Amino acid sequence: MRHAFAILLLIPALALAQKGAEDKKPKKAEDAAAKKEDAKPPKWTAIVGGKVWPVSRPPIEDGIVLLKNDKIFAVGPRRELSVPKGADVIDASGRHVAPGFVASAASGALGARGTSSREKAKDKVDPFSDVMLFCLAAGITTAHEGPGGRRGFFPGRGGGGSAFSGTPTGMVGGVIGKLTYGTIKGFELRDPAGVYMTNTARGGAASTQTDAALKKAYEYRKKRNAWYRDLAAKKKDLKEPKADATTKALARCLDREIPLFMSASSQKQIKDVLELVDRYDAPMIVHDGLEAWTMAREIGQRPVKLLLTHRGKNSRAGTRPYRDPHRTQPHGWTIRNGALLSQAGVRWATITVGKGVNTSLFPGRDLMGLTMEACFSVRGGVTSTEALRSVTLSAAEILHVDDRVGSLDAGKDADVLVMDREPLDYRSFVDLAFVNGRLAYDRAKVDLWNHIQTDRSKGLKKWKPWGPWPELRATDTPEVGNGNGNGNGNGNGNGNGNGNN
Amino acid sequence: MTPTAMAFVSRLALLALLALQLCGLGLPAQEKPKADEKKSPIDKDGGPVTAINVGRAVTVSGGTIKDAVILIQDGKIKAIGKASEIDVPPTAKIVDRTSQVALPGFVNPASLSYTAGRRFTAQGRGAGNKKVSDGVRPKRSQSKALAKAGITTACVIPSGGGLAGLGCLVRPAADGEDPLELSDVLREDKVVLTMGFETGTASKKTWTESLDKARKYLTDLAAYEKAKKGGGKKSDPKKADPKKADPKKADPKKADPKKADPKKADPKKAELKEPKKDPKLMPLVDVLEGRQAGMLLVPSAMHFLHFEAFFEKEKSFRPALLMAPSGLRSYLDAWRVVDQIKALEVPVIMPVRIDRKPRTTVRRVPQRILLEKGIPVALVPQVSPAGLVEFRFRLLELVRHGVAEGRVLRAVTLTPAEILGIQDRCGSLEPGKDADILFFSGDPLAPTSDLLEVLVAGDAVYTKEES
Repeated sequence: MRHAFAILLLIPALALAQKGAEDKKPKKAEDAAAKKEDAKPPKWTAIVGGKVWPVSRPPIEDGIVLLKNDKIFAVGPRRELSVPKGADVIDASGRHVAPGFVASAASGALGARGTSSREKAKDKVDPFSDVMLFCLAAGITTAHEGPGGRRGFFPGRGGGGSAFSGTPTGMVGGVIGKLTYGTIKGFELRDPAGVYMTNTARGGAASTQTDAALKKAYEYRKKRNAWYRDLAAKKKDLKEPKADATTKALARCLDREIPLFMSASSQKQIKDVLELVDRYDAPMIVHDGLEAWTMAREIGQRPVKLLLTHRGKNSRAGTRPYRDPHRTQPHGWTIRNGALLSQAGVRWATITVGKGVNTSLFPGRDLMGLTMEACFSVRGGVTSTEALRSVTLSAAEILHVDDRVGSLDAGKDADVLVMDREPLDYRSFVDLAFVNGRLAYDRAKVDLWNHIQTDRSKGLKKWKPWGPWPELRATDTPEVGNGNGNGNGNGNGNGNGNGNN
Repeated sequence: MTPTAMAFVSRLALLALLALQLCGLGLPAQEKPKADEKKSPIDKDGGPVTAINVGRAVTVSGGTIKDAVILIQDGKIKAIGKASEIDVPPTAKIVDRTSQVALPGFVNPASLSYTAGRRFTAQGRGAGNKKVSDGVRPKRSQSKALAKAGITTACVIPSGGGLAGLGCLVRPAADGEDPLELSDVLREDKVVLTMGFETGTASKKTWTESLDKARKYLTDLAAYEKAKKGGGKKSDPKKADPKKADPKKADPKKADPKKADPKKADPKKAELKEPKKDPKLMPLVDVLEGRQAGMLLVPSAMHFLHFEAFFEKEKSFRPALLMAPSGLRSYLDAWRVVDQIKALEVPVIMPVRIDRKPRTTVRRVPQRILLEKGIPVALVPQVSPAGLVEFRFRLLELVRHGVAEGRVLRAVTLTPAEILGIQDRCGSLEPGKDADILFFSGDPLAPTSDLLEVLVAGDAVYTKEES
């Protein structure tokens, strides 16, 4: 009802606005505009009957998600919303509808290789990249890639993890994009995504070039603000304070306009970050945060958010076993990382240990296991609501893209998943993935998971690659030395008997 | 009639329709020589006439003619038709090939013949007016390879991004003294402007600049010519740009004096002098105007999607698409954008080879998908000596994968000739065209039949040695 009422309120407001426009605009222009609207009626898609997980609100049983072109038009229970005529109706009864997941640290998911400050991802993206398809199958519709391209999330030789080099003074780059499989329209969310600083300088980030760069930006920001004030006061003979592009970008980070990323895993590295935050009032987004739980309260008191792993990687710097007899302080990694940080009021998003798509090593390590990674935080004591938030709305908020993605709310981009089970269920499959209102992934049609039949996968095309397995043991094992014929068909016993003979 | 019978009949009707379409104007073409006969197609002052009797002539443009006679004079086909309908002059040299099948010579629209150490790539920058013929080094071995593959016309194209350069037509050389000269193999120069596109911001910027410059030249030229014609009338400048001028009149508020001034001044300037010709850009201008054939290398569907914005912006820019990865070899995903290509109404040049997606068992026949959509397709062999050897067998492989034989033959003869704008000379067996003819011992695509002789402009360039 709330929606209906809002629409009712809107109509007179629109009419008034149009009347105002009528007076101003010449008639011809209006006719042309009207013709344009006639030529292209909006494309409606209605996902009806599923359990809707808007993330920003509690789940809705038997709900409707109504998409208008590339945006979400309305979300609500079926009894409160009606489906417009001519809409594509997708029956989601018995299924779950969730916002597309946000991979807040990825590499290669966007299908753009060799990007740099000159070569933009939107000009290089391969919309037919297999990696993109794999990620869509895992429910990821938005991804954030650092300025490292395929080599790693962060620039430099380290290629992700806690040890990386690159530009300790800050590097403007990265991209946040949509996984628009099959088209390049509507790909870019933000490019560059933010400023990236490294944390490998000798003596710690807080005592070297990084500190100097931030100090420079801090001073510049002071001068710039003074200049703004003078401008507003209409003083004469004013000179704009000069600075290089990176310093200006860092100053914008201090303004809290664009995010500032820094990688930190160990206690020492996180301590350095906190020191910088204190000195320059710099909001930081800490990538990794493996040992962040040991100083949860300190982090909670500062403008620091985390792109968090809940599991450590073996044989990497900063990842010692949890109980190290040589250390007296708590350290290392724990599955309770997210829970302890949440208790201290820290905002965090879940990232995977591996930033690409890779099925080697242990499961859930790569981007395809993003939800599984979030589930590990549940095992550590986080509520499942918050775990789901950590791969959708929290991630979008931390990356400053929550006005576009992250939840099922009217006005946001139509990035919607239809899943056969609850979003965080480890058995669930993405049946359909809409990106910008366009069907980017259909499980039944892509040769990836379409051969897996689950009891929930109603409406999926039945596809049998081959018949049932031939029962080799029952028919092929010669019955030697079993003349009695037990009747129980104890194939194993027979087999063993043969071997012994 | 039972429903199944109905379905059968309708299917037959469809097949008949298809066959008709494939044959094009089957009947009129057969009648044509009849009409010419009265005038006598033979030039009395011309050279000697050869009359070749063939068991079957697959003309491509006008269906198949049984027991045909082909009259050749001065390297041109003068007449072709049924033996009973063609008057063979008594002086003509008669060649008996009644057990054989004649086919127009294959046309390869994208070749690297006679050029060493190069490959198709959209990387690097070219210059629009670069002639590829400057780099053509004829070799006897390559000439023989071409002839043996049945390719009588090949378009050598330059590689590179942006405006790569101008391609030229070459042919297999007739027997003669070595070394071969350029004139022995060059059929025609500056046939097609080859262009390339690689994804990336820099590449897109280059393309935006080139197209904008070419468009600006054309608008400037139009304004200049209008001013020239009108004798410098004062009303001219306004007429030159009616679309841009009108809304300004209707909207006096928006009439910005700063913006209006240069527009009024532009035609005046044009009155004074002709727009400058940039030699590197002129081929692109010619392509936009339809005076020059164009060919754009878009290696994959992804590249096509990135280039789509330029097609939307420049409606008259419709070059043939060379959709082929480097070396014309690996997996082709043109089928992914088949609807968009169809909407553009452009022909596509693609490798003849059917390949699978790397490291998968996914194998498609993109040639068939495009052809069935009604997109004109030209097929090219892989760039390697092996590519030429296997060319004909790749064609029959396509037939085996469900592409109609007529479509396959058209895709290597008339369609490429149309793409290059040489359909009045090559591509089919028709009176007036060059006598580029292949003679097979049987069905041209059957693996059992042999290529016995290849004529280029009436001269034999390949004859199978009898063993």
